[in-house]
Amino acid sequence: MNTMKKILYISFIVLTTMLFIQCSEDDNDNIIEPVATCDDGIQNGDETGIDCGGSCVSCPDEPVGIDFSGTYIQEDQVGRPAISRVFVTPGLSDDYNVTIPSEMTSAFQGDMMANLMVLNPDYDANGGNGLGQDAETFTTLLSRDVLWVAQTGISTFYDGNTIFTGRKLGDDVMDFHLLLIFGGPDFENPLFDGSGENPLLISDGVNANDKPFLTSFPYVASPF
Amino acid sequence: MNKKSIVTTAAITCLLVVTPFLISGDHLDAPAVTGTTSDLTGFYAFEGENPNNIVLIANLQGFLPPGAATENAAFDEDVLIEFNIDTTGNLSEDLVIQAVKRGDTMYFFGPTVPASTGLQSEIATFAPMNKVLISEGTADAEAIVSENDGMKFFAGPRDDPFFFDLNRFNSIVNGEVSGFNAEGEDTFAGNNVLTIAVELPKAMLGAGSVGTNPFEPNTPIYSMWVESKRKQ
Repeated sequence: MNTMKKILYISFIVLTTMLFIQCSEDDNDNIIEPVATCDDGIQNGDETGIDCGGSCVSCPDEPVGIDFSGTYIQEDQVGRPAISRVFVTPGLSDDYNVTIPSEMTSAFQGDMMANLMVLNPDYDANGGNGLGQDAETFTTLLSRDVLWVAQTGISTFYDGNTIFTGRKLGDDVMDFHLLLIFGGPDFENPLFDGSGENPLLISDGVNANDKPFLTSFPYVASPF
Repeated sequence: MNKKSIVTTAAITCLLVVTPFLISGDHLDAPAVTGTTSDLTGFYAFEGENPNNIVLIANLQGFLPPGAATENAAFDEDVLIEFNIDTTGNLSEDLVIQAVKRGDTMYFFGPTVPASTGLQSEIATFAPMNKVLISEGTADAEAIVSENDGMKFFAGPRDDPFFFDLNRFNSIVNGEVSGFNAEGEDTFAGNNVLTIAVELPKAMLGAGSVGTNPFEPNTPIYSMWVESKRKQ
């Protein structure tokens, strides 16, 4: 069969077939539509956009039927753990929670330093803290209340060596705060280390969570 | 009273005066949010099991005892949780990841450059969206995790990962004892929080900035914080 004959034959078959596919107006069930796919470049099937929504992936711009509109106003924030609670005068903590980080130092460093000096009046006289900071340097750092997180390498709040490169679930952050307040320049201030009749104020004596963390996402332990 | 006692007394007095409500990480940290659905109790950020990834965890609504209180605890659809990421070290967010509840699902947007920085936000519906079914709060409930585009998502009740001897601390503050015990007792043991967790490739956040952390001057750093924002 030569090419021309092939074309004529196929045309005949197609035309003949079409004679039997007649759709009356009240017989919509028989309408033959192309199968909708999620990558055909047109909106079809149950898609709510081109190749998205319905049984395809969600449309990025407008998840249908869900209202995400409106304006949201800040009520609380956390950078480093316990900063506002430990170092900010209680009556100012609501303000602290709605102050953007770039304005925190001007608004709160003085208050933080005053509170630190009340907690440990000899802070500077005794040599500052184990990070080599005096009260002003320390509270200036604290008042930039964001959590530094390393892009590479160890992430920890403090592991005895690396400082402020993240916060892991198991980091003993409250002990590090107590060390920075009461620990003196070597983190072993004998006045507050619990030796003899001295009070223990450089550690709370709780070094780990009560439930093991997971090694995989979401890492936090299941609820009790 | 010897000098040692004076110093000790002074320190304790200072604790009494200055930090009467030093409670925990960020639990119940300020009157306006105490006990509300926007009360953040903790923020964690660390390298993931896969070292190419970073993990962000925000906790809310602390001190949920096991049982009905945890099982009935719910995220608030009017509260937007926003992870802020400053990649340049100028204390202004360059990227955000937002999470907000609708129905039985937590929806996530980003990471994306926010439409605006600061105290006021709109949900970044122009950004890539992901979602995860909110997990149950029954004891030892399995975590429902969704994964897409190299990211992982979780939302639901979990054990409060914070640990601190709050009761002993309160006794110090009240002048009943002078210091902590060498072996303390975790006041947060056995309590739960509502957790939102995201793991994502560091590559999505860019390089970070060196020189931000004076103790690790050569390490590229992201500056991060988490916010809760309520619909007006």
